[in-house]
Amino acid sequence: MTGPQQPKLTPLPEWDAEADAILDGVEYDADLGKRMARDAIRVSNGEMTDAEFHEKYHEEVLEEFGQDDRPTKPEGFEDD
Amino acid sequence: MTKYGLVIDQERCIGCHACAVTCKQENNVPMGQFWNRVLTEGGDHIDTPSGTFPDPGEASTLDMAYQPTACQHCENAPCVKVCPVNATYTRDDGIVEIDYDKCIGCRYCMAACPYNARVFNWDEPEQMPEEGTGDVPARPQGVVEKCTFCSHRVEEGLDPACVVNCPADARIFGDLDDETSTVTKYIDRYETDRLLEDRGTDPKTYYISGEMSPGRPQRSEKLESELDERPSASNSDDDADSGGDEGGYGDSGASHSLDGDPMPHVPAVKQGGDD
Amino acid sequence: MAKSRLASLFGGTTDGFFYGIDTNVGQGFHRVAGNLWGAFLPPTNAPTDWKNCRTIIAWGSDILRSQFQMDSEHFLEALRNGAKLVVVDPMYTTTAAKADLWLPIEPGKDAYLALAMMQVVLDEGLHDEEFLRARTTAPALVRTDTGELLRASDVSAAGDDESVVAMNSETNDVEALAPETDGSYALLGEYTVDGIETKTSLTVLKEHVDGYTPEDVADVADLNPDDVRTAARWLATRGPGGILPSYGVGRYIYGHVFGQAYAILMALTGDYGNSGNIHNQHGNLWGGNQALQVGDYTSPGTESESVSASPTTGVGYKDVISAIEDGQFDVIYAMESNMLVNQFPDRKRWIESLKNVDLIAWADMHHTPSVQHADLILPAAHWFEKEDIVPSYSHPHITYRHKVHDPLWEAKSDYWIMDKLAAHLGHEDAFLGDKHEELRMLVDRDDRLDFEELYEEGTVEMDYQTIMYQDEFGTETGRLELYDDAPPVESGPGLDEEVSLELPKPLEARTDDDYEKSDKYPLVFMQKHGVFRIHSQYEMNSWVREVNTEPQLDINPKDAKTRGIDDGDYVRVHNDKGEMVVKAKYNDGIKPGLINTDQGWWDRDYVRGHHNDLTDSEVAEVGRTFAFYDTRVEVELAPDDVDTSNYTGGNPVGANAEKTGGD
Ligand code: SF4
Ligand code: SF4
Ligand code: SF4
Repeated sequence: MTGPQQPKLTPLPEWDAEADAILDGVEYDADLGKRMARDAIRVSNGEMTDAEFHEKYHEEVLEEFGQDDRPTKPEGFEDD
Repeated sequence: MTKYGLVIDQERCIGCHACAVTCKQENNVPMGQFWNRVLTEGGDHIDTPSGTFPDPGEASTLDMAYQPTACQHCENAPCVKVCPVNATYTRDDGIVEIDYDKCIGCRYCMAACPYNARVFNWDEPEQMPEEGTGDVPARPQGVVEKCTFCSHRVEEGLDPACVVNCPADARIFGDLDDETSTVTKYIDRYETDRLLEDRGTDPKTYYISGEMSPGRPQRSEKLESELDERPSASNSDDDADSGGDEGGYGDSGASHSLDGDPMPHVPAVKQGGDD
Repeated sequence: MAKSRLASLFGGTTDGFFYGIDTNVGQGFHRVAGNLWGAFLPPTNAPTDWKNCRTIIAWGSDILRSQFQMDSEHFLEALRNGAKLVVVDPMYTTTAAKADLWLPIEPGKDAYLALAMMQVVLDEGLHDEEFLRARTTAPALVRTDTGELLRASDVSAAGDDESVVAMNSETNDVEALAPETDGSYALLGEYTVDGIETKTSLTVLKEHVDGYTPEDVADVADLNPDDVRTAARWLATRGPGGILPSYGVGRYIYGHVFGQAYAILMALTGDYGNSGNIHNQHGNLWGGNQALQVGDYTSPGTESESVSASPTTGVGYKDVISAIEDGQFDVIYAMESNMLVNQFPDRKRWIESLKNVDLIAWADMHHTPSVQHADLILPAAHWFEKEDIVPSYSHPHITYRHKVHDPLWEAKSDYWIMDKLAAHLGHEDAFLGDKHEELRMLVDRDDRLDFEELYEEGTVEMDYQTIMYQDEFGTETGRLELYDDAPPVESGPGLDEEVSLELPKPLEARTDDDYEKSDKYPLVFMQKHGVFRIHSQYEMNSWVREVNTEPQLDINPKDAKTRGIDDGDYVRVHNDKGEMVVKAKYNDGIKPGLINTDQGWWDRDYVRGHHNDLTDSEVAEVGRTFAFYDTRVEVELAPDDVDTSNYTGGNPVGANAEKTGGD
């Protein structure tokens, strides 16, 4: 829920708890969501490339969702 | 190419929440949710400053400003990267949007968004009035929603609702790729910040602080690019005596003639600006 | 308009001239500048001119939050153009957050500060001599023996009784002062004229304000003397500027003294009649122009045989309550008003008084707390459900408002109700019975307007004056009157004796530290106008209630902690008159010793009580204005048994506000 004042922009250390709350009770793999969310920021930061991100989670995403339509797919990446 | 962006002048912003509420109305946002929130930079509560009240005769250290916050429409949007079904995507014009038909409610994007810009319909959304408001269909339970830069308006050549209805003209929308647009000029001219720049998300929402800008230069509902004539951003040169017969009340300050323009959301009036 | 016409038909009672709310500061100002437009705040330059202002002193005004926000662009434009903004306020407001200099004044000390600023201006010789000679009574001579102004008849057999006189320092002779006339008049000094000892009015003023140095006043008002000097210097030396008060200062019982004081202060700095002057927080452009000019429509007199007019008597708000208590009213017919039971001070007394009225009929579109006290409720149509012509006091337009929806349920327009009422009372011909035609007839009475044009265009801009105070003032002398030799004499709570107000003298009632009950009730209680509503309107707007969920008490953490109150605790605010229970909101921006709950909440929004159960309806002899902020209270933790489930039950809509649709 959004309040008029809270939540504020969250510093990374507190992000953990917040992400848990967001993903609490989700029908999909909450842990995967958290790891991907964290790495997505690394991609934004340039600490990781789109391709690395895509490959790192491709198997897990396929398994969890039966599809992987993320836009991070590198040129020539083989969907199996 | 077009790349839409928003400039918010915090020196102008008066924290009135009109942008938050008009967003709700325009976009049929359910009760309990806001796509756009006006945060107070200062104390713990809305409208409270940081610091402590000065002792008699002492200098004040209190400080307060407002930070309206919605989706920042990141160029490097982490929410887009994590969406397994590509429901969240970046349009050609730079707007980050959600295809609600595709959204499966995994909420990974919410965890990834560093700005808390997304809301999830945990329950059956409740609209008020029941039949909803504005020009956008309601979203079902179980999907994530957020600010769209009012893409349905932008596609019609209209500025976002929150931009048009800001009484302090503190919000300016436009094309960041057009070097003659007001947003580009203000970003060049004024000191701007983006939120959490260290995350590398490259947001397309810029906040002016320090020196106040002249604000949104047109009164029209229209996008700047749709106007026949570019508005002038330096509007301080009309003469002091304008009023009554010459010039007219609505022409002072940040205004632009609207004669004959179709205005789909308010009845057309011939004069009087937005009063 | 229809209301006045109806009332004139059978001699009803409508509001009197002295409304008794918001009439304090304006009254004081008008004593100096001439009674211009009633008792409310004085005229000011059009907001479109504000950008030319070099110094703005927002005095007890959070203009960016409590005034119609459409003027904010003009205010901001002044700041962008380099105006210095000074904010005088015991609370660090949104407007204060944009200030170059914030003066966190002790509540109720405003007149002190204005006097100290005058002291600085005169002491440092920053006053505008030319302006003072030509447009004020600064040179007018005051008799040392009687304290009266020397009149032309005192010094010359041919002189009249009215004209005041000044010493011409070139001719060494006295001259009658005409309006708008410059001359080599002595501004300061003592002169013996025909054996009568005199001083100039400015000298009398200077001697008076010398008792209020920035150091003296800083002590009383918790300010820094350098800041007082800076504010005065900016106003006096940076070019055209102005003081922009709200009605806030007038919510202390003797607020009119501040009105008198700032009018004089601006006379000293010559800030009248120029582009870039400001005298008030809202661009009241009406001056009659923004209203329909309909002649004798509201008092038809004898024009029609069937209309037997009897004069309506006005009773000001402050007198209404005793009139009701005395049983002077058999019937109250109220329209779209939530005053009696929500907005007036000393709420419980009003509720009790209504028992003396035989019939209360209420036409309203909202089921307000006031409506609940009616015997008869007439559901009135919303303004979107009827056509009308709307003037404004904040922009220079007359608007034709078209109906966009049929009235829901059984609602009827007020016009329809008036027409039927008039007919029932035997005045079938009072109204045409067709509102559209009635509006056409009204517009036809106004030479400036064409009905078809107004109807088609929707909005027509009327002539208005951009720069005010360019002509002779409306006073007896035609000048700004610095010294009043026939002053009103004030008496009221907190005053040991009557005080005559030749010059502004700071007067206080309950804000005074010496007030008899200041030990028992140490906190001053303000009820600011917030941004989320206009008075008590829009209370039921569920969207706004998501942001502004419930009445809260702004309290400085220092005051809270000494009372064992944590942030977010429910607290009981109480005094001899009553109580309210609200949630405490720590706010470092509110001065210790002062607390605030925004006004306009309805009784149902309070966990218990009401803010107007704490306020007093007592008024002063001269001020005649309700003094909402002149209230003292104590705060303690709410008793354990209060039921706060409205707000703590996790309802996102907040409160027990009805879900009435979010428009
Ligand atoms: S602000 Fe959040 S939701 Fe918006 S684009 Fe950036 S990451 Fe995505
Ligand atoms: S751009 Fe539209 S959707 Fe986004 S905050 Fe503004 S009003 Fe809401
Ligand atoms: S509408 Fe404008 S002034 Fe009001 S809060 Fe939003 S940005 Fe600020």
